[in-house]
Amino acid sequence: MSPVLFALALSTMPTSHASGLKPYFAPERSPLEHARAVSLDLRGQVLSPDEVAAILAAGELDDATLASWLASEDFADQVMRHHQTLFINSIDLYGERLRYLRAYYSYGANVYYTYYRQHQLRDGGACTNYDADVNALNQPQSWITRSDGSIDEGAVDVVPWWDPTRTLRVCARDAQLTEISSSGNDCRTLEGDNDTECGCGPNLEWCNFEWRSGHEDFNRAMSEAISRRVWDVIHEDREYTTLFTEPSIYVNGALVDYYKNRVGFSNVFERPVPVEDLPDLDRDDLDTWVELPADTHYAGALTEPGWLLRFTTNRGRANRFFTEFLCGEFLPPEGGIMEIAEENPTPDLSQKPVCMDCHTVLEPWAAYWGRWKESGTTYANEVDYPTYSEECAACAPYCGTTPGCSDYMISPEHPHEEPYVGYFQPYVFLFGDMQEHPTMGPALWAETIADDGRLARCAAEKAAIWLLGKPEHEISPELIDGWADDFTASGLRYQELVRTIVTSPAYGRAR
Amino acid sequence: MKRVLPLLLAVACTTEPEKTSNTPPEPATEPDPVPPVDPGPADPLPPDPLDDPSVDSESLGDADARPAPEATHRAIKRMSVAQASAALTELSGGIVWANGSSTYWASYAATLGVADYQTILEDNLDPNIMFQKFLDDAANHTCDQWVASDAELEDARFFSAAEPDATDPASVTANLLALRILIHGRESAEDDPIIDGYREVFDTVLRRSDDPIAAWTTVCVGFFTHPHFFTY
Repeated sequence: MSPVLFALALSTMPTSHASGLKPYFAPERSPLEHARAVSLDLRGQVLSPDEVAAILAAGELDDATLASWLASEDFADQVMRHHQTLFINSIDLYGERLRYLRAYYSYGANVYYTYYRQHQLRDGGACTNYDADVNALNQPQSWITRSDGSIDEGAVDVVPWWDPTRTLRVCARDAQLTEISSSGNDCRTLEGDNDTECGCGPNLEWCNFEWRSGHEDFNRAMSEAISRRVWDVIHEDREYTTLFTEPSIYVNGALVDYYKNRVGFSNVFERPVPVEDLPDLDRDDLDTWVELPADTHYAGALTEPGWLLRFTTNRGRANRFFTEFLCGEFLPPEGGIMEIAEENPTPDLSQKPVCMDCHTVLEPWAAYWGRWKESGTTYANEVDYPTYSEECAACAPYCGTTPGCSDYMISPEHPHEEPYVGYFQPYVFLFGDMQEHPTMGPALWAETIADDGRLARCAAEKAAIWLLGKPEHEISPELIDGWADDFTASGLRYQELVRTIVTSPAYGRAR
Repeated sequence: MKRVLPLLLAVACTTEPEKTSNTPPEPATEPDPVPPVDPGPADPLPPDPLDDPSVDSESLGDADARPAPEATHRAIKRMSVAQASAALTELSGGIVWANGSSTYWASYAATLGVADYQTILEDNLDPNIMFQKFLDDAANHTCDQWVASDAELEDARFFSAAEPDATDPASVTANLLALRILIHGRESAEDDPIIDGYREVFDTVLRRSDDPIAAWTTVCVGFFTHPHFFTY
């Protein structure tokens, strides 16, 4: 061990052995050391010379200074970072997940084309790199027909949306600018995928770039939207619960650009608000964030794309929220999960032996996201997807031609499924009050645990772990209870929670 | 500058303070002050409960192992990379450890264990050798610029208690005490072992280089690489 590590280890060694069974009390730190620690935790910054002088003169970190630190942007930054360890909001999507058909690939001598539309557009293959004969809409006026029947219409120059400094050679049919084809298809939507008159529009706006680098801003924006929401809640000293209940969505330039131009081709995303409600932000404006009011089924961070795609299953979403905001944990039984051999085991995990130990609790919570697509961000509303479909119930178990019934329980394979024939899949196995969960959404869960105090208790525990730098089992539960009570009494103002902790005697002692 | 690095490590790493001229200057961490709560009379240790024949050593029953409120305290924490970077910049009046627009802290983020929330879910805050190495690099970069430029300023920050060319013991000690407060956030007495240690570093480098700025630069690096800077 290096001398420094050894010294640090010495400083943190328990010393209770030196005094028998008597507890060891860590030393109280000087006002200056205390203020430096508070400053680093709350602002990520050491004290300036003027602040050092002021604290030495006052002999303490005064209330006014602490209040100004809590109200500062730096404090919001620190809380945002702390919450990033809870949300672990980081997305890295590209290519397939952002829509295959209109994703660009390069081919041969720097000719770009949409690989998965090559058959729709020219019966196979890419074009070759000769100057295409096109009109103002980049529609080919002549082309070469190859021996296999495929066509080669040549290429045109296009400045792509993802890099305005570059000019690409793009196959002419992929570069078409037509908005409405002669068949009436809207080329700006999925309607145009099989229409040879539909291309990628101005600057290839209606197509994705296949490579990861083309989506960095978009991926980062989805992740940062959650952090930005945390930042606003803390900096504006809003009630903490709104982090999980506010029916709104956060956008910056990269997200606005995607929602305006390419979301129509995606089966993963949908436009969260009407296009006319999107703010006028430049694609490169990554630092301007706007919170947009959205439909009532939106629930703050819990329905942000950055959350829904970080945890792609409803059980995963519920588990993460349970772990980080209810401070719970699902643990397998001692010896591991035993598989029980059964003939035709029940698909209802909340009734299946062993599985039920966790799933009795987890399934109703997962149902809060029941109407949100798994591995996606789209919402199945009650109008298009009623909880119960008489039509699907009537055609069950053979509903081949009835649209939409694939999302409904129509062919039960176990007696436990039979009562749910005709129900929308997320409602299968739900009963009683649980049947409200998919419609009410995760906001209901957040409100429930805010009302009964569990959200405050867990937020206080997580804040204590962060600020005291200790695991939960090394912190007095009575202290956490007291901080949670104060947090609740403050109206769930996070600034007040942190103020209470850093001014406590426990924070003032350190070793 | 490079010649004096062993001395810097001596300041940062030594654990046994002694006050002779050839001894390392200062412990890496101060001895803990006397606990504020009276630990009670110095009774002999109570008998080990397991020696009591009435106690079943196989089953001692349940007990709450979590501490009482008055025994809960904050752990000494290592600065995060972001905090260390910000602190160096703040204290030096704006000097950034960077090459062009990209800071080295950002370039080495993955190596330093900064969370990306994909493969690394939490910042690594261990005071490991990798952090020490990069902190040393950053301190050298910062101190080289800070001390030289601060010496030219009227409202100096590094030389707040002494003229840059002053080498008399009183001036040097006064400035060391001021730096101790500014960089470590701790007050010390003139005869504190840590001050002795930094004075020793200053004197040694001054003897070898005959350059007060070089001596102060070395002291500066010693302050930034000491655990009292990067822990709190």
